[in-house]
Amino acid sequence: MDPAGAAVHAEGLWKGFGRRRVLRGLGLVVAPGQALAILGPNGSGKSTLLRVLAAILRPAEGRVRIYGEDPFRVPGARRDIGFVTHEPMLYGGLSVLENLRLLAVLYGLADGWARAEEMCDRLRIARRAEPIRGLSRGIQQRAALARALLHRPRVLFLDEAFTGLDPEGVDDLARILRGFCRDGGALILTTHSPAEALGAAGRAAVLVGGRLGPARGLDGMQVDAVRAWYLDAAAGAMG
Amino acid sequence: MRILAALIWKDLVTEARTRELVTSMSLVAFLALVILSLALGASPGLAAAAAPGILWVAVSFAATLGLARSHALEQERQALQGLLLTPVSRSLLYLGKFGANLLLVLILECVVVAAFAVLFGYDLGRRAAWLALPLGLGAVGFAAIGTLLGAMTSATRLREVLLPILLLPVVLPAIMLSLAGIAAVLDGRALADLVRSANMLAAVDVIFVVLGMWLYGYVVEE
Repeated sequence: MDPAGAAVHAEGLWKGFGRRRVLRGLGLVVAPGQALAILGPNGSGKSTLLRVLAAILRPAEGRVRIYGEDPFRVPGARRDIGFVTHEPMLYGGLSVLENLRLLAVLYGLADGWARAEEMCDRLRIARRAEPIRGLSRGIQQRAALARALLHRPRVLFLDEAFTGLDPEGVDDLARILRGFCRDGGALILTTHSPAEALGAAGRAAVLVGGRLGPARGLDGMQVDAVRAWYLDAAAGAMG
Repeated sequence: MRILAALIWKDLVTEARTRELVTSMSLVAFLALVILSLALGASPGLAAAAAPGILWVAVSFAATLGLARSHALEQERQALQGLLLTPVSRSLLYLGKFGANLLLVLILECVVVAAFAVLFGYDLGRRAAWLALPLGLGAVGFAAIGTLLGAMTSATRLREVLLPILLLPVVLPAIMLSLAGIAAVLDGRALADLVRSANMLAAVDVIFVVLGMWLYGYVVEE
C-alpha cells in the first residue's frame, strides 16, 4: 500500500527499556476503514507498540506516520488518534464529565461541553458527575472509551480494551468499533484472545519477541482456526 | 492561555477536594519547625542567625514530599498519558504542572512563615511583605526543577527517595540566592542587597523554567 494513503504507517520501529529490546525493527500499514488485530503472548511488546504508534512513547529508531504526518513532530496529528487501554487515562479526583471537559479544552473542541454529555449518553455512563476513583471498573472503562472518541479521531488504538467490561459493555464496544470502521476509521487492537480479534478485526498479525509476523485476513475463519493459526505463528516466531 | 488555565485547574480542583497535599506538606513543615524551635529556642541569637535556613529547611523538605505525591497522581490510572495523547505541546503540559506545583509551594511558604513567626516569637511586621520576594522567587526555581524531576522519577519505584536526592542538589543555586535575600530582609539591610540577590535568582528561575520546558517532552516520552 502507498504509505501516503495509509491511516497508520510505521517502519523500522525499535524501542527498548534499559538493556531489554521490546520492539525490533517492526513495521505495519493500516488503511482507512481497516481493522488490524495484533495477537501476542504477555510481554511480547503489544502495549509498547501501541504507545509508540500513539506518540506516547518515542521510538529509539524508526518512524510513525498518522495520515502521512509524524505525530511526534506535528502535535496536530495527535487529533486523529484515540487510544483505549485497560487503564482509563483519566484523573481519579475529577468526575467523568470534568475529565471530558478538560480534554475538550485541550483538543480545542468548540462544542466540548455538549460533546462530553453526548459521549456519556452514547456510552450509557452512569454516575458521570462523581469522581472517577469511586466508580466501578466497568464504568471507568466506558469513560476511557468516551475519552478516546471525544475528539472524533480517525485512528483508534485499543490495548486489551475489552478487559473489565460486562457483556453489555462488550456488545456496546463491538458495535461502536464496527461503526467506527464503517465510517472510514482505522483500528488497531491488541489482544491475546482469538475470539476478540475475530469479533473486531478483518485482519490479524502475531507479535512475538518484538517482531510482527505477516498479517492475514480473518474472513470466513472460526475461532478455533484463528487460535490454531496464532499458536502456530507464535511457536514459529519463537523458533 | 485557556489550555494553561485548564491544566492548572485540574490540579487545584483535585487538591481542593482532598486537601491531601497542602495538609501533609503543612504538617511536615510544622513538625520540622517545632523540632528546630525546640533545638534553637534557648538561644535567640542563634535562632535569628539561622532563620533563613530554618525557613528553607522546612519548605524544601515538605515541598519535596508534596511534589512527589503531586506527580504520583499523574501516574494513577495513567492520567498523564491521556494528556500526552492530546495535541497540546509538551512544553505547555510542563507549564501547567509547574503552575499548579508553584501555587502549592507558595501556599506552603505562607504556612511556614506564619508558623515560624509564632514558634520563634519573631515579629516580622512590615518585613513579611519583603520576604515574599526571595521566598516567592525561590519557590519558582524549586517548582520548576521539581516539576521536571518529579515527572522523571514518578514512574520509578523509589520516587519518594529519588526525588529529594536529585532535586535538592540541582535546586541549590536557587535556595542559596533565596537564603541571601531572606537574610538581607531579616537583617534589615539596604534594599540593594535584596535586589541584587533577587535579580540573580530571577535569572536562575528563567534558566530552570526554560530547561523544564525543553526537557519535559523527553522525560515523559522516554
